[in-house]
Formats: sequence, structure tokens, C-alpha cells
Amino acid sequence: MQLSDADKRKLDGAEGPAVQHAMEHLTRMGEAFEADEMVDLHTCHLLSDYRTMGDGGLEFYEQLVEWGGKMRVPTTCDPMSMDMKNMDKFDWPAGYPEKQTRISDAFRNLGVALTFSCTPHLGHNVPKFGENMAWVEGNATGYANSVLGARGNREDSITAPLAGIAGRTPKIGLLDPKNRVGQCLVEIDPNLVERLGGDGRRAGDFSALGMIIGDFAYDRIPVVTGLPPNMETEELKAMCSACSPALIGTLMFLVGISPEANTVEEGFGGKVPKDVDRLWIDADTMRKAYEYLSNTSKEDVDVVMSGCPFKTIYEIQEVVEQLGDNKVKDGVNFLIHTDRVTHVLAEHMGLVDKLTNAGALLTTDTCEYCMPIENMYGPDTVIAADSMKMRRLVAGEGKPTWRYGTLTDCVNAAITGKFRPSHWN
Amino acid sequence: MSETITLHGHPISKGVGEGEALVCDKPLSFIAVGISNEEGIVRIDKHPLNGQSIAGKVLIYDTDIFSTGGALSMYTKKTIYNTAPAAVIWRKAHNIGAGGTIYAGVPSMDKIEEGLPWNLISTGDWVKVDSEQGIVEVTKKS
Repeated sequence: MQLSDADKRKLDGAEGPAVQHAMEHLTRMGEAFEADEMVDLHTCHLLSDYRTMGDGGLEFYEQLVEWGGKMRVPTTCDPMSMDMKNMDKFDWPAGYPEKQTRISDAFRNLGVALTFSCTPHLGHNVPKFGENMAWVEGNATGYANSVLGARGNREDSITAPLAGIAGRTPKIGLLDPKNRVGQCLVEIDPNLVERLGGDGRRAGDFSALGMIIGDFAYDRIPVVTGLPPNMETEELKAMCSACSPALIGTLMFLVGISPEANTVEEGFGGKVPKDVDRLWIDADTMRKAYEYLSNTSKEDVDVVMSGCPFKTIYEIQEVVEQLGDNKVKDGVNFLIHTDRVTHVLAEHMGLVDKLTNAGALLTTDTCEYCMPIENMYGPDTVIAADSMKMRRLVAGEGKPTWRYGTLTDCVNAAITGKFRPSHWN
Repeated sequence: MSETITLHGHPISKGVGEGEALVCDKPLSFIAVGISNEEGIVRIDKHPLNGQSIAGKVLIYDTDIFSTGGALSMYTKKTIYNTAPAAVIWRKAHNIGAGGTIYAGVPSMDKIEEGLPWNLISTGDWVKVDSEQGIVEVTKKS
């Protein structure tokens, strides 16, 4: 890897120990992936949750602070392990608030914007076309690559902050424009398109669709054609949540939406290969995806969750509309996840009052993935959700089981305590 | 006398590590929600390695899936709980596994020249990964 003179000065320690430490790691990463050079970084997004990073992660961040590390580019951060606004509503393990607070303190010192949101691309960290990102959070990186045309890999939680401190990162994977070429083709049945999305179904349908595409493409870049016209931000957000639980990479060429794929041909770099691997998605594929995503057949639910990725303000309005004048059934926990900035807006708009009166909880800055979930819900807990990503990440021995449906299905489950799928069965 | 074979691959994290092989041909993640940091035991929905401990093993899997937090989970497994693998071999390295193993000092390699790693190495074989040299020595379980 060819280092610039400025890179070499950083590596030699001319800009302090944090930058030097960062450059040493970035050089090893670049060599591992045989990068030719490093590129300037424009934006950064960091891992925050104590549950995932543990004491090693906490010490890692505190060491960077001790060495005088500062983020050189706009930097936001992912959700944390707790809802600091609703401390009394959950049973957090001993020591968690203190550890999570130390992470926030380290972030303040590093110059990180304390957004604690998995949707930086819709809020306080919106990259432009062609900019280089070092972001944790697959759904956000997926959207930024696929919809905005920014460049970034599903960056690991160690390399991302170090790249932000150095202001540089090795040009590997999707950071290199020559690797941004389609490798397989996904076609969507026009009859299915007519039935996709709409009020109460956006997140469920489009995150299931994303999973189907992601499972097929796996570590390849799919070119997706036949999507509905004028897709909404929320629909694209749901679809891009496939980046991590299904798609290994973070780029889907969405024909007509992705700035680098105005046509199918453009998505493949000029010409569709003759023997291209193809997937056809129709209503039957969709029905099977919904079926597969329920890993229990139990009808009685204990928890209903929606908001992975975090709800936008319009999606919070959608939940309020779906609830109408109904109340959440006693004993059912209805959790809607968003970040604190959106929560403030929802409060200002009277939506928090409406949800609270109905017996639902709009949480802030956390979700079932970041929470120490085994401490909170036993394996007998049944959760209904319209979020494919959450369902896939949080499942296995000792963890709750899931029913998967649309938001309408989930709201009905919250009201009646019974999950009864309505749409794709 | 057990059969020993030598394989060649591409170094990701430089070092030498050895242990008993734990092998699958599926993607995996080091995230705490899937493999707890404290115990190092796999608990992921429908995963072939469910119930197995990764601690001290030479872990072989396809590539990294799930959260980017896997890198810091790996670092905590190594530095706090001693539940990290002794070495890792992938079909193809992902940033998450690469960043985690490089920073934690766990030797790792990908792109084994002789074929797919799960066709050459079985669970229970004794494996020495020398990613300084790009060499893997496999002593087959007798």
C-alpha cells in the first residue's frame, strides 16, 4: 500500500499517539485487503452499546481519549444498551448505567455527536454522492451506498473510530469505485409490486423483500429491477435493513433509484452478463418469507415491537393512526423504537401522549438488539414484530421467539394479545 | 501416526495460533447477542455450531454476517474473558472479522489455495495457523 507523505507523518507519530495508533491499525487493514492506497474519510458512525462491546470496548474508547483522540469528520453513534428516559420501565442489570454513561463520556471527549440512532442517514449525518464513509450499522450504510451513492463497507466497530481519528481509511471493497459493479440480477413480479407496502405494511413488506434479495445475493452486489415507482424513504429504509442480517455487503443497485444504476445495464457496468444469476420474486416468495420469519406458531404474544431500523416521525404517526382509539391489552408490552431527537419531535406533536394513553411506549436510543435481552425476556417470551432485521439478529437458544407480520398485524396483536396474520397468508 | 497436511492461504491478521478445529460452512458473527462474550458459546437461530464453545478453537466459517459490533465483541472476548478463538480461517475475510482479529491479535487467514477450508479441515482436527508464513498445518483426528 502506497502511503502519502501526510499518511507517513501520521504513522510516525507527528500528530500524536491516537492518530499514530489509528494509522498502525489502518495500515494493517489495508495490507490484509491489498489496498493500493488510503483515501480521505468524510463521515463516521460508531458503535455505542455496552452489551455488544463489553469492557474491552469501553477500555478501547477510553484509551483513545487518554491518547488525545478527536474525530476529524462528522461522527454520529448507534443506539445504546438502555433507555435513559425510561429507566424505571425495564430491569437493567447492575452496572449497566455506569458503563453506558462512561461510553457517552468518552464520546463527548472524542467529539462524537450523541445521536444514539441507527438512522444517521435520515438525520444528522447525511453523506453526499461519492463521499467515503466509515460506518458501523449495516442498514444505514446500505441506504447511504444504495440510495445516496456514498461509499462505504459494513465497517467494523474498531476500524470505524480509528479511521475517524486518522481522517483516512484504506481504499478497499465498496470504497473503490471499480468494485461497485452488479454481480447478480433480481426481478420483481409486477403483480407483486401492486400489493407491496401502503399504510400499516411498509416496514413488514419491504424488510421481508430486502431479506429475500439479501439471502439470494449474499456476498454479491444485486441489481434489483421492477421496484415500485416513487418508493418512500421509509420503504427504502426497511429494504436496506437487509444489509447485515442477510446481505453481507452494503450495496444493492436499485434500478431507477440508485444514482449509479439508472438502468439495469448501468448497474452491471455497461452490459448484463449473458449467464447472470437471476432471482424472480413473486407473491409466493413473499408469503414464504413471512412464514419463515415466524419461528413460533404461538398465538399469544407478550411483547410487540416495531422500529428496527428506528421509526421516523411519519412512521410514529402511522402507529398512532393504526391504534386509533384502541388500548393496548393489559400484560402486553408494546414498544416502538426511535431516537431521542425524533422522540422530542413526537412529544411536541402530541404523539407521545397519544401512545402513552393507549398504553404503548415510545422508547429512546435503544432496541432489543442493544439491550441485554436475556436479562429482560426469557425464552418463553413471544414477540410480534414487523422488523426482519431484529427478528433475525435476536433469535436462538435462551432468547425469545418471534411472530412476524405487518404493522397492522402487530398493532392488532398489541390490542388483542393474539397474533393473527392478515396479509400474506 | 496421524495424517498431517499443509495448506497455504492469505494472511489477514499476522501471528501463530493453534488449537482444535471447530468447522462450519456458514457465515457467523462474534456479536455478544449471538456468542456471549462471557462464555463464548454459539447461540444463533438454526446455526450449525449452536451450543459449541469457540474459546481456544481454530474457528472455520464462511465470512462475517450480522452486526459490525462483532469486532469489539471479539476484542472483549480476547482481552476480558479469554473466550476468543486461537485462530480463524475464512473462505473470504470480511472487514468485521479482519478488524476484530487484527486488533485483538488473533491470527487469521482466508483464501486457502487448496480448496474450501471446510472440505480440508474437520471439527476435532488439530490445526496450527501460521499467518506470518501463510501456512496452515492440519493434523487429522485419528
